[in-house]
Amino acid sequence: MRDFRVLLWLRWRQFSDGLVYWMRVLGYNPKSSGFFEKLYPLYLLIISSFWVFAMWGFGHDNAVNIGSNIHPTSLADLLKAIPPAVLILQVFVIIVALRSTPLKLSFADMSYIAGSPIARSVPVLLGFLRQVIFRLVIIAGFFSLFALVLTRPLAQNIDLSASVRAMLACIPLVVLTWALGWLLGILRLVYPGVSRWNYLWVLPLLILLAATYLPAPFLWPGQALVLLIYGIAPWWVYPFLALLAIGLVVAFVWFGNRINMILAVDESILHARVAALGLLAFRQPNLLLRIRLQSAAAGRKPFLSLPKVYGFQTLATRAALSYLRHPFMLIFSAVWGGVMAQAAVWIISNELPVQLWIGWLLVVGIAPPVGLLHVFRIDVEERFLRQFLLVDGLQLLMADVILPLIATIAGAMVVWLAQGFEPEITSIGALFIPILAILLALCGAVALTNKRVLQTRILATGITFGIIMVVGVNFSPIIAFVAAVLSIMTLGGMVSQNA
Amino acid sequence: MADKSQEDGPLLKVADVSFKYGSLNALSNITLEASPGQLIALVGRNGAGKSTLLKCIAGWTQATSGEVHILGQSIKQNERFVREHVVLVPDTPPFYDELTAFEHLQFNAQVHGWQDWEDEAEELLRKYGLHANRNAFPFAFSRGMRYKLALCMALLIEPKILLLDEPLGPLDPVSADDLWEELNGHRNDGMTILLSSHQLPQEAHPDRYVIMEQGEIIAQGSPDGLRKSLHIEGPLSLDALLRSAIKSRKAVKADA
Repeated sequence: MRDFRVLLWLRWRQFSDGLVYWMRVLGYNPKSSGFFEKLYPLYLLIISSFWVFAMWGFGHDNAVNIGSNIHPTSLADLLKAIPPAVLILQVFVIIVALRSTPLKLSFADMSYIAGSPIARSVPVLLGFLRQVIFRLVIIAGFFSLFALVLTRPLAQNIDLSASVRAMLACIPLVVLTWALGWLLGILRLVYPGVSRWNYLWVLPLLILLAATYLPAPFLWPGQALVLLIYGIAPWWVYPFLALLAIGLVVAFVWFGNRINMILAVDESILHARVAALGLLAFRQPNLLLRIRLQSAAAGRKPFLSLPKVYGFQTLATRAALSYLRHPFMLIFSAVWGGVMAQAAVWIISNELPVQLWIGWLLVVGIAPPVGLLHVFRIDVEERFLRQFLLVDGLQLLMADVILPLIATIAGAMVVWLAQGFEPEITSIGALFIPILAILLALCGAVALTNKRVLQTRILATGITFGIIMVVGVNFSPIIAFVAAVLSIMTLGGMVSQNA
Repeated sequence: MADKSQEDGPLLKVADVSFKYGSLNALSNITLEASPGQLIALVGRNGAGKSTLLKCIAGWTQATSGEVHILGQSIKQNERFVREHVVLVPDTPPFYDELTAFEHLQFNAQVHGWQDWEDEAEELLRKYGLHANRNAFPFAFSRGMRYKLALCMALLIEPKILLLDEPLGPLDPVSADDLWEELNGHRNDGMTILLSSHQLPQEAHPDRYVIMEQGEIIAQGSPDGLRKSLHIEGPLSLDALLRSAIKSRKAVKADA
């Protein structure tokens, strides 16, 4: 208990120091003793509370709006999709915990906690609580809105109690999910022989396979969530979930006392490096990605080798090799293309309001596929490397993005073709998907030639995609096609000149 | 066109170049020339503008005013031409995270369309003590090793003008001596080298020193010429050069 108090105090100090760091980012000066400076935290609290309230209100209105417009068949599909989605999340959590220690230590923790005689179960429990509370806030917030989408088509009035039920249901489910992940991750650290199995993390994927043939034992948490949201779950479901979650927490805390701290430190290096970045991690997500890629490649034998080709082919094969050595970027691009295509289909087929299209555009502008411009970004930003490349910006872009672009197009195309639309509509979509993907790459490339990368990317994406969508809806696909080609030519010229 | 210019004029001509960071004058009316095979040492205190000048020459930064000509061609209009003939190695060079040390050299040679590069690449890596790490990723290298790899990349493509920013800072004494030996060889082959440095080995004999202070050139000339004009007695060290030049400038300003 003494250990727990000591570490809790340390975590509180770290939390308050971290809070002061982030408040300094927002203009707060803790060293100033002025009256107004002391009021500044209160001012920030009021502003952020208002912001959260306003955003929740905006989200609430949109959720109700979507729920009102959603077609009964789409609602049925959505309800069917929830249990598998919950299972996929659970498998993902287990995979993450098996790939690397769930107990994440900062550089300070490595010095002062890992080497101290403190009971191991204490940092394990506090680490779990810190991780779960943060995730619970996000997931419960999301499901409070999602519950409105699910209940609106079946209710006469807006059912706010569904939001409350959804938030309450999330508590045992989130704890259960992460406690299971932590238990398995910690067992790996307790038995070092197991931790040497490089591909142990692949095993949870078998759960997904098993769930395809035998759904009942695996899909029940998601089904329980749906029943709890609608308020039609038997009385024992909630206590059962809560007891199971508590049992798993007790189990991993018990095993946590026996973990090998050397392994935990060794596997926490990446987390510690990322944590040490602070604000920089948000301002330069690319730096974060590079640290992660370096960590993945460190100590490994290089996969494949650079082929002996010359000139432009060298550029293309080098970019391809970069992606093949980190294939998750290609997989992510394909998944991104598929998800965005499915979202667009969903908005069109349900004739959802224009706000959803704006949201879709914002996602395209703010969060394009992570790997799409990874190689091009380094080529353009690092002048030392750029000086060796004897091609203009557009040629460089073509060589650098060809593989992730194909992956993005392939992902979107598979989803589009799977919809089974009429041949005329299918062919229009098949024509526009590659064009929009090229446009996406060009918008990102233009942004990289500018100091304000995010703003430029959002602006370029909003203008070009927006024009094509407006023209396509109000006039004809052919005019939209012409607008797209003109946009590509304009952006291509800018990239050629400036990159 | 380029060949004619090469015969007629200097290899590098910096004419009245100025550069501003906001309201701060990082460079003010810099003018200098360099001929093939010359070694020019840029000397100055921190913030004197040495690195900014090298970046302007390499085309990494566009001068606020003035012109830089390489082989008679302005770098503003001929960016690709500059890339073919000028290489700047910064003090902390970046690399591709996905390519090994050897693949960096391979990529560089193949992008330039060079067919027989392998022996030379192997030789460079061996000379700079990187051969044992040829299949390692450079992000795991020490600062000195990274600088050596950057040098190998630059020397492999044999640019006409090599710009080195603080080359001796990250290098150990043995590697620094090897670098001088290598650079002298390239000088004899006609490569022009401009370097900014706070230290030079004993055996380094630049053709010319350019002494900078607060974005201006306060003195430049051959070692003997500067010894006379700045009244330096004893060995001609960078320290003595810099102190004498600053003192002389202060005296001139006071007289004015």
